[in-house]
Amino acid sequence: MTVISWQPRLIVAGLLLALTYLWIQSASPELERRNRLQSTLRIIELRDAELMRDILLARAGLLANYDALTKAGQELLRLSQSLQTDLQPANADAEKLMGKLADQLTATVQDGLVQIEYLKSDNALLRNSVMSFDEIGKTLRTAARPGDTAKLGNLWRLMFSFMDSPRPELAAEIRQELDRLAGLPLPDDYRVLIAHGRLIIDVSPKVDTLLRQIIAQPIVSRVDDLQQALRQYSDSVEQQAEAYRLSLYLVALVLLAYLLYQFVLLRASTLALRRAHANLQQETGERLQAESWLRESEARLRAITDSAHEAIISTDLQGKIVSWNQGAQLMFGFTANRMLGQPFQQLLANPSPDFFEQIRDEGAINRLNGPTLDSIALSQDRSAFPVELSLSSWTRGTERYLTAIIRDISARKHLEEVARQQELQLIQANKMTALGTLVSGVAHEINNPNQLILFNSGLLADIWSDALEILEDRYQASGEFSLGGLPYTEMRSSAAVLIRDVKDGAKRIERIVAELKNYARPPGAEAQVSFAINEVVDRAVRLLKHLIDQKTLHFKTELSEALPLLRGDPQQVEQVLVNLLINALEALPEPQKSVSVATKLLHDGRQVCVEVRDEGIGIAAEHIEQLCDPFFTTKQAKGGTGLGLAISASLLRAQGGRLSFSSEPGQGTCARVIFPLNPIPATEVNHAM
Amino acid sequence: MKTGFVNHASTQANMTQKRNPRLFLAECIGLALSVAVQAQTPEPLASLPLKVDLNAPRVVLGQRLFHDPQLSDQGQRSCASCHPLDSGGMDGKVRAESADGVSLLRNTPSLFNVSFNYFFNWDGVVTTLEAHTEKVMLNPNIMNAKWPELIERLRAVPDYVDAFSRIYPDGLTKANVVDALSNFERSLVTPNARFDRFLRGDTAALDAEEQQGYRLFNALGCVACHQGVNLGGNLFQKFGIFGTPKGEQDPVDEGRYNVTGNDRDRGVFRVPSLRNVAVTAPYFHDGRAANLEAAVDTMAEHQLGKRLATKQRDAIVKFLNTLTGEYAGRALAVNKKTNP
Repeated sequence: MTVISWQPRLIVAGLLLALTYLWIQSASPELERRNRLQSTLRIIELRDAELMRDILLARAGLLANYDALTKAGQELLRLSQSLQTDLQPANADAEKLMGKLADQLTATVQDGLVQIEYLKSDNALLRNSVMSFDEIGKTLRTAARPGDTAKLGNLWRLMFSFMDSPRPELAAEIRQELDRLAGLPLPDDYRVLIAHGRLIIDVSPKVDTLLRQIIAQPIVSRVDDLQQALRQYSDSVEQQAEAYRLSLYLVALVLLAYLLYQFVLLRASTLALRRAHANLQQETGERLQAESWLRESEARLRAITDSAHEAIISTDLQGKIVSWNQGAQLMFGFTANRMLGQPFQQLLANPSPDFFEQIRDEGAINRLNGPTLDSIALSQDRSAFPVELSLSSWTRGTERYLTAIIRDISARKHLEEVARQQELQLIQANKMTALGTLVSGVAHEINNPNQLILFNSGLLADIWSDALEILEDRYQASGEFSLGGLPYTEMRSSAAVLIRDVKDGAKRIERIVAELKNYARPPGAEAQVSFAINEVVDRAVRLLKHLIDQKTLHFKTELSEALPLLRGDPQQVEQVLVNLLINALEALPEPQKSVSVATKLLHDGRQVCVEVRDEGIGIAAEHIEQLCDPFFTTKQAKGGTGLGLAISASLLRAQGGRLSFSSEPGQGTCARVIFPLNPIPATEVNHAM
Repeated sequence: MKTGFVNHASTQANMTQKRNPRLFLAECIGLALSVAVQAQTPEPLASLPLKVDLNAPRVVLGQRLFHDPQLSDQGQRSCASCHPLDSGGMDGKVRAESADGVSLLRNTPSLFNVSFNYFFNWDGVVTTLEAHTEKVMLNPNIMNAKWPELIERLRAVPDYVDAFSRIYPDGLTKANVVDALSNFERSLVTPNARFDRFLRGDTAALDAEEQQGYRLFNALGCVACHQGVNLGGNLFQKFGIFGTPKGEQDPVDEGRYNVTGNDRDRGVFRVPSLRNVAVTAPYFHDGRAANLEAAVDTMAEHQLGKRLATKQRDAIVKFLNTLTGEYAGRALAVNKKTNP
């Protein structure tokens, strides 16, 4: 409905134009002019009447002067001429007729005026002559002789009759009389009389003729004709105006009907509009609802986007950033305000210059849409971190955009590292397990010949001591002799040492094998019992009483009272403690240094700790981690097997406890055995063997 | 009384005109006669009004134009050249001097009281003062003006342009030039002649002989033609009813015949006004009468068919001398200097 409908406007405008035209036409046309013409005609009539009156008065000798008459005549002509000019621009037939009539009227008036002028002249002469005739006649009659009187009397009578009714025969008679008089020898007065008499009979009929002609001038009928024509013209134009008025009425009706029709249309449109409006309102409401939902959904989406740990960054195809989520801010440290519009490449540690050129290619994006790619990103402090980049493209309108979801994978990398370490450890442990199995097998194989060696060495020693008396005897007897390639005197002192060395070596093998067996002994056979840790400590100390006295002058125990009972194998715990005590005592460089054993509760009573502290040489930091590894020993020379702490740790693990060390080289070491108070039952996995 | 008659007559006319024009005329005659009998017969002569009501600025402008030689072709003549207002409103010459010095013109009539004439020029060729004014201005023998050039000349004078635009809405135009001149000419009235005072009831204004002259003027029939306010100027008459007047010059002036072409108008001229006649010699259309005595004698003999006794004539001349009025507060007189 945005297109303006011109048709009704044109129709209404057309009708209004028609109405205006008809209104103008229906107004009685030239009413003023017609009235003016009408009144002019009336005035002409009036002036004509005045003129006629004056002429008659003049003729009767009752008009003193011709001013008024002349004026009336000229006025009449002027009026008639003005009528003529008024009707000059004739276009209609009726007007042409009127113009013609006005021309005729003017011509008539002009004719009349000419005649009137003549009448005025003649009338003046006539009056003058009549007066003179009368005067002279009177003078002559009074002064005349009787004979002359008779002659004059006849003339007088004739003239009087002629003045009364100017008949031609009277005129002829008077002329005869005047001719007769003119023939007589008479004084000057008679000549004047005769001249005036002749003038009277000459002019008098002319004056009467002129008067008749003037009266006969059809001025009135011309005016009448003009009035008639004017009336006809008025009637015709009024009829025309009437027709226009009727048309005006009809057009007005049409306009009204059309307006009504338009009104009905408008009404219908209004109703439709109102309905549409209601619909629209409803739709608007729905749309608003939808919009609010949309907004909510968008907010949710934004919240989701923002809450995502991943950086979600959108760029246009020029690489300008158009969206930047909370995750990105957290990841890169830049705020959205700072980054919007910035090139995306600056976030990458090794951006390829034609990165986006490639991406603009449709295929490249399709390729990119699938897999992710790893890259190195730069955060605000220019520190690089590994990221995983997932690119996707989308289109809004004609613009194409790229969205990168960037995940900081440094934690994962770290975990992967840890897992690899653990894997390596597992492999190591597996190797250890295999080694343990191997060792227990080997131990057995070794132990049997070793027992033979041990047994035989004792026997050999007995044999040697018994043989020595004999040999001594022989030496005494026979002097020096060779024994096993060596001289007897040398052999006598060293053979016992050799045998004892054999025995010691065998014993050492026996011990290593025994410990190997302990290390690899499968758990689970021992009964889990409750025991008091202090008692175990006492027993271990008592067991090592001899060694303690030998190694240190300062040994002390600080056993906390009221420690809860522990569950486990007290024998193994005792073995662990003995192990630790031996290590501590052996670490002492001199007896002045002290060793102390303490039991206490740790961590609000949830753990029980046995602490063995010495002031020995300490452990190098790099060795602390390896203390519990099997076969790690710093006392190889002193017969250390490297299995003691490994076995200890293994035993403790089996009981839910653990072993920890802290040491400062040169100052001493503190070893702790920590038991949880509710030890978790040991699992198979936790046991190395 | 008269107004009533007019109304009555007009209603009568309206009522009767439809029926029969003849009957209507008969009624008119009856009415007119009855009214005329009842009415006091008006005097054939009437006094000039003491004052005329005119548009003063136009009169002043007209006066300026009247005296401006720029109105003529050569810039030599103004209206006042032939109608000097200090000398009876005419040049006092037998015949007017034509511009080319060859053409034969008629005697210059006085411009005083011209507005009370009904016909202008000796032959009555025009009937309005405006037409007369323009005619004289454009006459090649008199002022020989041509409108476009004349208007051009007047436009060159800023005063005229100002004055015209002040007085006339459409400023300086041909019609307005004529109008201003005509207005001025209408102001040329000479009231307060002794005869006028006599007519207004001052019987002492005329002495016995002058009054005798007035009576003779009536009785002899002069008044038959010299009537009205201007004692003439409102009709035509043949010059020489009783015999041909003496001193006719060649060629014969046909007079009004030149205007109408009617045979009976041969030798017919306008009856001139006798106002200020004593200061407007010489007389007649051709100036043949050098003085009033000669003029009165000629008129009596050839127009009235009578020879006057010297006494009669002198009385009439004396009467005619009482017709001299005042212009601008002074009685008109012949200016000897301008009249050689």
